Parts: sequence; structure tokens; C-alpha cells
Amino acid sequence: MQLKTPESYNFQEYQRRFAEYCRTNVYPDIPGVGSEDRVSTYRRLVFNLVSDALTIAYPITVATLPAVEWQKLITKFFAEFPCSSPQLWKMPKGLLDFVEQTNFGLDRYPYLRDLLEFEWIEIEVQMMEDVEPDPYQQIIEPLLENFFIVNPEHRVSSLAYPIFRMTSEDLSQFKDNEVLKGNYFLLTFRHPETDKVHYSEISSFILLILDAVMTSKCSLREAIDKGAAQLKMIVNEDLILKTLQAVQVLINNKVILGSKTT
Amino acid sequence: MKQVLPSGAGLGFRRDIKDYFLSSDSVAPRFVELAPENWMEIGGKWKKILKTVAEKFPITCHGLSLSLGSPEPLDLNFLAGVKKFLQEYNVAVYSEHLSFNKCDNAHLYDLLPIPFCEEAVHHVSERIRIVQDFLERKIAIENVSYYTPVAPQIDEVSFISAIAEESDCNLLLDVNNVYVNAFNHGYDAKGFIDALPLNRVAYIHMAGHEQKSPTLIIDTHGEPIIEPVYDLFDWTLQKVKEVPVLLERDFNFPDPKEIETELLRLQSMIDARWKIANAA
Repeated sequence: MQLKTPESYNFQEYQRRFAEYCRTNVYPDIPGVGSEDRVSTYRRLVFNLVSDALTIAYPITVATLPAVEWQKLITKFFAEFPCSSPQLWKMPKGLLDFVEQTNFGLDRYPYLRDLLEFEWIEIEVQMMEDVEPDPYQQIIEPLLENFFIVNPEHRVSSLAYPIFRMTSEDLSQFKDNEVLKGNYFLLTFRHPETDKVHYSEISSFILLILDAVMTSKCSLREAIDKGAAQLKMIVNEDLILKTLQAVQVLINNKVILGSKTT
Repeated sequence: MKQVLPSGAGLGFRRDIKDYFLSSDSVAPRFVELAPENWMEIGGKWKKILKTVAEKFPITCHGLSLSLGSPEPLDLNFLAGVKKFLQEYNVAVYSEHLSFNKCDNAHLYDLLPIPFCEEAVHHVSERIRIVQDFLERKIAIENVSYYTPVAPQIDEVSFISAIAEESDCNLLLDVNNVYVNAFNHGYDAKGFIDALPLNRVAYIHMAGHEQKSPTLIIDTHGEPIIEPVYDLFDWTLQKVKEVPVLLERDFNFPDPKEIETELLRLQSMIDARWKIANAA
């Protein structure tokens, strides 16, 4: 069917209406379209594609939320949030941004933002572009005098709930949020040899030490002093011992790759 | 490095069947096609796999998100990323869809039909020219499958032909899409192909589809190619010069042997028509 050209014909306006329909499922007034079942094919195809990508990206969230809540969330997200990335694999980040901007569902599922971040960061770290670390050599004793090189393929998440310690079942029964609410730091990193993504909870003190090592390029001893000063902690043998234990774990896990070459 | 134009029958590179491409005992496709959107700006395991595949096969690229028909300006940052990717992997053929998938700054990640009208011809042609200037190469635009026209004022083949002429771009002739559209919209597939500027065909796609109802076929890329599409392909081979031919299979992956059988059949049809023609 071809239309006569009315003065009001505006093909870009019709495109907008068509795209809006695909996002909202509110049937539009567009001239020259076929039957409703033909038009609805587009809504179905577009929404299924987005739904599939989100379901793959957020399997724990899907397993945790009641199915009807998940559907509500992604339906509202796709209708209201402009997915700006041309890369489909980056689109799920928009769901996290949407929940952060709108607080959607947080009254009923206070952990939702954290859970989405936890799942998204795994994808982000797995897919992130390769980053060449500064040159490094083997770490030598004593650890305190080393200028560490940190694996640059990592992200740190700041979370309000320890969702990374919980199963979907735990989360489904999540009630007493005030008891668990706090400041949790999660280090997610890509292993340089296997390319597998791992995560590890770190304390705020270790986070400050890693930050000092990376940004100030200082020795571990200096980083401990800086971190302790920021948190108003006293540097004593116990603190140093516990820090060295935590740092050794980071070395074993390849979060710390080595010591700066001299 | 000199770009080598692929020939013969290639296969779309999909993560679900990566092992097929990496295996040494598979019947190798002559080239592989991938969507740059899915592979650019990545690292780690998938980047290593991509490098391995790119060392083994010539690569063609088929874009998904450039949105040539969008009302809003082209995303030149994204285009710059595509250009870098094409250079990095020495890609000789880059194609995109004659459709739009972005509107009001929101991507929809699927191929929506552009209204067939004169204004859209000029709008899309201008955008293709910008893309070609930016990339410093001709691109090929694909005739997409569509399930409803939107506010059409001219017919589909006139729309495609006018854009190809006005923008001086190449065509990616998707034979399955012609079949699907001819079925869904009740026109003659061969007549449609005959009316295209076939001298501009630089690439051919072949795929399977799924019939959802007595009057509707969906272009799924999830089924084997059916006989009437093979017939249309064979007829098309006699109309166009030799170009690369791609088998698209995007999901519902069968045993690799089934894909190989389709690839071999396409290759034998190509050889039968084009090698004979070239030898004559």
C-alpha cells in the first residue's frame, strides 16, 4: 500500500512513533502500516532480544526476583531508559543505571542495586579491553619495601549489602536489611593468565592501600601509613601483620602482579 | 597490509559455535563474518579467540547498530571505533542494514523499517555518503526483511535502488530476505531482484527462516535454508558477478556437520555457476 502525500507527511515522525511503540507496546497511529499482528511482530522481536540479553546478564537477579517483578522491571526499563550504547553487550549496564536513577524496586528489594552491580561488574571485567600493566619484576622480601604493580584489569564496587556472600535463596528471604547494611568493598579482577574473572571482598583499609600503591606509586610501608592516617588507625605490629597476610592473598591471586622494576 | 577480498562461501562467526571455527578438522568456511559491535573494544578471552580466528580466516564485517535510517545524527564516535576495528583486522568488506535501530537517542538493537519515500532516500543517501567518506571506502547496504511497511510512498525496490544510486554505495543482496519479503508482501522475488542495480552487488547473504503462519515468515537465521531459497540463489548467481556469499546462522545451532553440509552446497553452487562462467 502506498500513500498519497498529505502536507503533514513526516517520515521521521512516523519512525519515532514506530520506535516508541516498540519500546512501550502502546499501539501508535502510523499511516500505511499493516495489520496489528504484523506491527506487533516488531514489538515482540525487539523486546525479546532485550529481555534475552538482560536475562543472560543478570541470572542471579532473575533467579531472585519473582518473575512478575523481573518482567515489570525490564518492561519499565526498556520503555523509559534510553539505551545509548550501540553495543548490545553493554546494554545491560543501563538496567543498573535505571535502578540507580529511579530507585525502582528498592523499597521491596533493597539489595537490588547491589545485586545488579555485582552481576554487571563481572561482565564488564570479563569484557574490558586489555590493559598493559607497568613493567614489573618478582617481589622480593621484605614485602613492606616493595613498590607494587597492581593488575589493572579490575574494578572495585562499593556495596551496601554483602550480596556476594548470599545465594538467590538467601536473597529471596532477605528481610532484616538494617542488620546487614554497611559498607562493603568488592574487588573484581581478571586473572592475567586464565582470563577468568574472580572477586574478593576487601576491607576499606586494603582498598586505601591499593589506591595509594596505584596512584601515589609508593611502597607498601608508605601506603600503610597513608591508609592508617586516613582512617585514623594506629600503625602497630598487629595491623602490619594482618595487612601483610591480606597482601599475600592479593599476590597469590594475581591482583598484585609484582614489584616495580628498578 | 593489503586487503584481500574474500571469495566463496563464508560463515557468520558466533560465540556459540566458536569451537567449530577453532577446530582444525572442520570443513573450513572460506571466510568469516562478524558484527564489529560485538567484538570491538573488548579484551581477555574473547579478544584472544577473535585474534586466533582472524589469523585463520579472512574477515568481513556486517554492522548492526550504525542505524543508517535514523532521524538523528550519525554516531561518529562509534563509527571511529568501527574504522579502527576494520583496520585492525584488515577487513575488506563492511556492510550495514538499510534500516534504523536508534531513535530519540535510544538503541532498539533490531532492524526497523524506514518509510519508503523520497525524503528518506535523500536522508539515508547523505548519511551513507558521510559514512563512506569517513571510512574511506564504499560500504554495502543490505535489503532487510520487514513485516510491515511504514508510511510508504514508493515501492521497496525503487527505494533501495534510488539510495544505491544516490549514495554510490554497494549492495549486499540478502536472497533469503527477498524471498521472505516477497512472501510476506506478495510480490515476485525474481522480478524484485531483476529490478535492483545488480552491478552494485558486492556481497550476498543466505539464511534460513521460520514460517509463523500461512501469511507470515520471520527471518530468524535459526533454521536451515529451504529449497526455494536455494533456487532463488541459483537464479541470482547467473545475474551477478562473483562476490563473497555468507551463510548466516545466528541461533538454534545444529550439529556442525549440518552447517558444513549447507556451506558445501553453497560452495558447489558458486563453483558451478561462477567458475564455469569465469572459465568461459
